[in-house]
Amino acid sequence: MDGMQGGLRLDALVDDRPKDKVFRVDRNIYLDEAIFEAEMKTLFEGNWQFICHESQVRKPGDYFATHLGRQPIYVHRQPDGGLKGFLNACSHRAAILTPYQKGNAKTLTCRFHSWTYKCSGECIAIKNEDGTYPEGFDRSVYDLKEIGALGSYRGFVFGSISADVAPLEDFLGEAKAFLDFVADQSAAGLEVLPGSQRYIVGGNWKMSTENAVDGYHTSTVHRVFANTVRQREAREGYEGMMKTEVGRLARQVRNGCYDLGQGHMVIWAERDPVSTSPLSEAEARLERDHPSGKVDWMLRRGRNLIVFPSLMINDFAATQIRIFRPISVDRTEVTIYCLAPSEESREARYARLRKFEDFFMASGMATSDDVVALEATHEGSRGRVARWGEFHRGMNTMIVGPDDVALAGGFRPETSNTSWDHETLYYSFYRTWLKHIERA
Amino acid sequence: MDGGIVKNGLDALVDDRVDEGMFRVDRSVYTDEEIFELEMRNIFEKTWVFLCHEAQVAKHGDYFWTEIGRQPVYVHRQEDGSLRCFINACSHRAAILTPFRQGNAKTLTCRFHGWTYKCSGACVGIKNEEEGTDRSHYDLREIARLESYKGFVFGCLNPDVMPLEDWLGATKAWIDLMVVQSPDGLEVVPGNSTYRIDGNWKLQAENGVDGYHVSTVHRVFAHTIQSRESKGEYTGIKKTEAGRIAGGVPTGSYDLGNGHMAIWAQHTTPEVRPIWEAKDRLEKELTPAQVEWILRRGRNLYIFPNLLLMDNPSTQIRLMKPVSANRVDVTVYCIAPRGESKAARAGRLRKFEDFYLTAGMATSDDIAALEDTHEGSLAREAKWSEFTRGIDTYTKGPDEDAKALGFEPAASSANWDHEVLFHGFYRNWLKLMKGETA
Repeated sequence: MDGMQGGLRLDALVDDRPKDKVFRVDRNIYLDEAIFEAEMKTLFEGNWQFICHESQVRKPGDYFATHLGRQPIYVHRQPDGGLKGFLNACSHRAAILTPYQKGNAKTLTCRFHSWTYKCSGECIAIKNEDGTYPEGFDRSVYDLKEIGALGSYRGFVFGSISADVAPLEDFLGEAKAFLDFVADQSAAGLEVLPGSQRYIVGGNWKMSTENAVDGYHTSTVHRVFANTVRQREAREGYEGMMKTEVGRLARQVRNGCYDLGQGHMVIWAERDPVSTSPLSEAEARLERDHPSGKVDWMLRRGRNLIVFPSLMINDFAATQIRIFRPISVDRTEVTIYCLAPSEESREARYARLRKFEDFFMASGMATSDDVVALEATHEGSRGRVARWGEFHRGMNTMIVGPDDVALAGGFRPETSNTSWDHETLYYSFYRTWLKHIERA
Repeated sequence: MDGGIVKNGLDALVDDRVDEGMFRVDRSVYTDEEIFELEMRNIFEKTWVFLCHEAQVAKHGDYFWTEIGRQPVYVHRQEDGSLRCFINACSHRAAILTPFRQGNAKTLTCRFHGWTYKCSGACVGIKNEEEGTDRSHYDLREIARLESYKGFVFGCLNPDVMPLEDWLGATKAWIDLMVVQSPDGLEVVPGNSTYRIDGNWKLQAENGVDGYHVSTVHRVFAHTIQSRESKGEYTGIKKTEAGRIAGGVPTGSYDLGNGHMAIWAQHTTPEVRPIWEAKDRLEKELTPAQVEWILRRGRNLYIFPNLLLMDNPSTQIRLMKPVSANRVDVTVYCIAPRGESKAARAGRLRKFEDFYLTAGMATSDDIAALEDTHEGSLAREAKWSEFTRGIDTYTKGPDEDAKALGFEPAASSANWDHEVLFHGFYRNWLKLMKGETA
């Protein structure tokens, strides 16, 4: 972008002056169409994006279709066990090649003119090919176009339209530790459980990203959830894993937040009590296989992770992958999956699913409240005269580098803070965001 | 931000290198809003656009409301039998003046403030008019050009556009094939269906003359019809000839010039066609070539930019209204020779419903294919859509069939699978987009 947007300097969109106790962002970043275009180009089509979990494309021929930014793509499991990612468009006239969002097919045949492609992307059949193309015609010019980059970290598959990206592990940085805390929960491997849910938030995607690691709203927006669950559990006599630990909603436990650098962020809170977690049945195994500083993070602390810019891995009441996909400046498509250790007991799985439904599903009791809050925020941002969104809570208590529990967990955040109410975790998110936008 | 495909050069959108065996189109022509805006200005508001059939405005006072590009207009039959066409907006505050898509009214009164206009567009009533008002100042704005070819009415907002018949060129012989089917002319059968495709209008334009998709997209249609008909309840003109869908019959395609296009396929069982009952009369009145084309060849004709005329299992007008880069609204009308028998009309209507209505079994599959194509076009890195099939086997100018019927295509292909006809479409598109005249 040219440095000016709507008469506004781009570098003025993020008022980044911690020394003056100021960190705020211009609410125009949630509203401006040109900024949205730049985000699509740089953040979403020019950088790593989460695609799916390996368990969703386990067997040769399994495919999974999604978008990188606005571009339809799919990943396809190869006969040799490798994974490839393609632009989801027939080389002939662009029709998408996957009849379903996920499925299994050794070859994909376009439903428009029957051109057929192998798993490998090779064009192997053109309907009525004979005599219709010039002499010396080489079908391989119609092989599918692969996406620029594809990589996997501990089962989490990422891709990029652009090939000009840093190595995946460098991109993930300190977020790797938090993916490890999830991946290490299972010796047999994690699985994405069948079924998913998709809903639209009538608001900018960055608000959804912010909300995913905003502990501060919890005691307001989810107060009714906490009260309802508490009453239900008392009335119905729920025990053990079936209980939802709601202590943290009432702010009675230790919690905190991390700016992991490169735009990755985390909030966390102690579980109260740990026995409510479906993972608690694996405590002995975890203690045996991992250092206790890590087991604390895996088992004894609920965590929300944002992998920049819009993947949320959530391990609180249940374990979830949540993907925010921008549709337009004021519409965000959200897809959620429940993630679980494949070897967990029937009882643990049952409890995990019920709590997933309670909190995370759009038909549950918490996400619906979040959606209302996010749409109200988007609407309020249109009040342009009230220009700034504020992110200065906790500036005084911010620790540069790791705190005690980060050191014990073996990761090094850029900054740590003593409460998940605090807003210092957003700094590298908006700094990274600005760097990308200025590149456009 | 790249600040615009249009500014960076329209020529790069159409990779037209036929000599090197290459013709392809940048898929952003389907998805880019800036290109769409330019299409509205330089194509839909500059050249002839189909409005309606005269049979839809037969009597004095009959009006028909449609759009030229995005501008609402209506055609109104005058007292002297002529047609006029006005911008459909009250001179006062722009409210549209026609309460219905089609109707009859000697005067139109605006439903907002009660201003009234005659058939002629003259402003004849201003509610609570102030003394000394010159009402003629508020006469309706007439469109620049309105002409009709054998019942098909076209309008244009550009006064300098070439005469309609020059514009239609080689398509006239194809329109004639519809018109001469009855000595009393065509009628538009009452009723219509309007549906929305979440895809670019050019995808529908292409699809209307794309023979190549038929054996893929309409395979299920063909099988369903075949299995239904094998149960024996369907005989004679109730049958749909599904042979051409399975392939193996002579077919062909034409670039008719000015962006117009056509495809055809031989009927395997012409006796199931509703027009078969008129065989003797047609053979007496028409040339053998005309009879062959009418009775034994299914035909899809595309008239640039917004009209498809089809005579395959049934006969139809398909009208395209672009709404945005990613949406086109389509309206279908069944047309029929006046005076055909009740049995022929029933056969025609049932087959119209089967194939052409959105509630039918073929159009619904087309819509799915077109929406898939629009979605896939958003995969910008896979940049090109291909139009190379048959690129080194076509005939420049007319083939023998065209000569026999007497029309001059720019290119003829001996197969409806071929894509050479689209070259003319995109060349004309590009020419108009660049602001040159057709």
